[in-house]
Amino acid sequence: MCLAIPARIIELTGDDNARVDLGGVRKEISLALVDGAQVGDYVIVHVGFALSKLDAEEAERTLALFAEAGIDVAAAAEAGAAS
Amino acid sequence: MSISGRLRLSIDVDRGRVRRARVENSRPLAAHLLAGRRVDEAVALASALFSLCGHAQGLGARLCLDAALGRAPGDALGRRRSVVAELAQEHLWRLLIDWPELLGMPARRSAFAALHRQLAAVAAQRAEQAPELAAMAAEAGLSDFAGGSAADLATACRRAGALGQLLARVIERAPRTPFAPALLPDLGADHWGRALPGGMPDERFCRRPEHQGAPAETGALARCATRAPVVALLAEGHACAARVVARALELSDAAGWLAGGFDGFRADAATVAEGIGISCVQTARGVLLHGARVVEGKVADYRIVAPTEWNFHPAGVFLKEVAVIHAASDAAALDAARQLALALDPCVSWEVDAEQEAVHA
Repeated sequence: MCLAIPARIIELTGDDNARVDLGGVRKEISLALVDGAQVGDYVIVHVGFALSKLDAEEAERTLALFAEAGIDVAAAAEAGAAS
Repeated sequence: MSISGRLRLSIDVDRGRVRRARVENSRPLAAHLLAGRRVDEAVALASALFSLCGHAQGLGARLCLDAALGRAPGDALGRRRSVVAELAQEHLWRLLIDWPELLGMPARRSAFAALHRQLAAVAAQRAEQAPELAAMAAEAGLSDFAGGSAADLATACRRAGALGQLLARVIERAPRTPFAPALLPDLGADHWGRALPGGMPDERFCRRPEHQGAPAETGALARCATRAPVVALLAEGHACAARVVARALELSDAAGWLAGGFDGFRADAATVAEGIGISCVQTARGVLLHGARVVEGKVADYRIVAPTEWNFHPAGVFLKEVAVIHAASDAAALDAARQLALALDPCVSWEVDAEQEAVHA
């Protein structure tokens, strides 16, 4: 049950790819599975693909829940939960 | 503590034979995050926590908590459409990306991306149908197969389309097993409510779920075990390939469910006792069980049993079948182990490693 960690798009790098930030961890991902993602949007990432977009409010709420539960988002991202 | 879980499959090989295999499963502990929350909060959290099965988790939580409160499921069952779309997305990922890559065939990224987007619109309830899903399922060439040998099936698949050609390659290449897999029957929430002590999964069951005292396999193979292509493969020991073919059958089922009702799609719940509910939801990897105890409108106890716990049980199907791998080389044995792992498809990140002492110069 992979965790759905919201990642924020920080740069569109061309060819339907983007750089995202997951709690301080930067990753290059594909946007091929989502429509119209822009810099600043939040996406759920799995094995190098953005699976879905979520609005900023929803993303902040989810990140706050993870923080409240003591989940280190950066460590989870590095461990592969959202790789 | 690992919240999301991780699976390490270590294989000790010697001259193409597996001497020893181990599963290290840091199983997800995310269910604990739901305890102490109000019921509606817990449902929202269950949907938001998981990347691959969020809709199934959300439906499982809704059904289970409504049952605990003694409420009718109401519009929760309307969410089945989203869960079916999610199931089809997972099967497509395996069939169009992961299996081709593992077998040295070209991954079908653009076809996958187009269908994934169509299904995402269905899951988000912005569309009723994924227009290309039925055509993709038909590419497998399974619908006209009424019986015959595994070779007959491979021939029928090869003639049908690109998906069929992948299945034919899997039938040729996947490891074979000299015994039949023990399959979990399609049991509903009523059964589990009666069978489990206290009416819901305890910690031990979450770690090592069993049916009638023994491990059992859940997933597409168990659900499609009586279908002609699967019967033909199992009769000749092609259990690994049968799992992949069963995914293609379920893809076809998913197209049917989205088009015309949900006959045969499992999503149900039972009230076990006052304040205790249990639910069963079918997912791409198998049955997802949720159990909850609610006290004064708050979740006092929450348990989730994911399909991976059944299939990677310490005496379960992966370890039984990996133990009988006998390949031409150590590298081929590891490759067979990877195929077996992908066929069973853990829901957490996984890797198959050769144990150090097993590496031969």
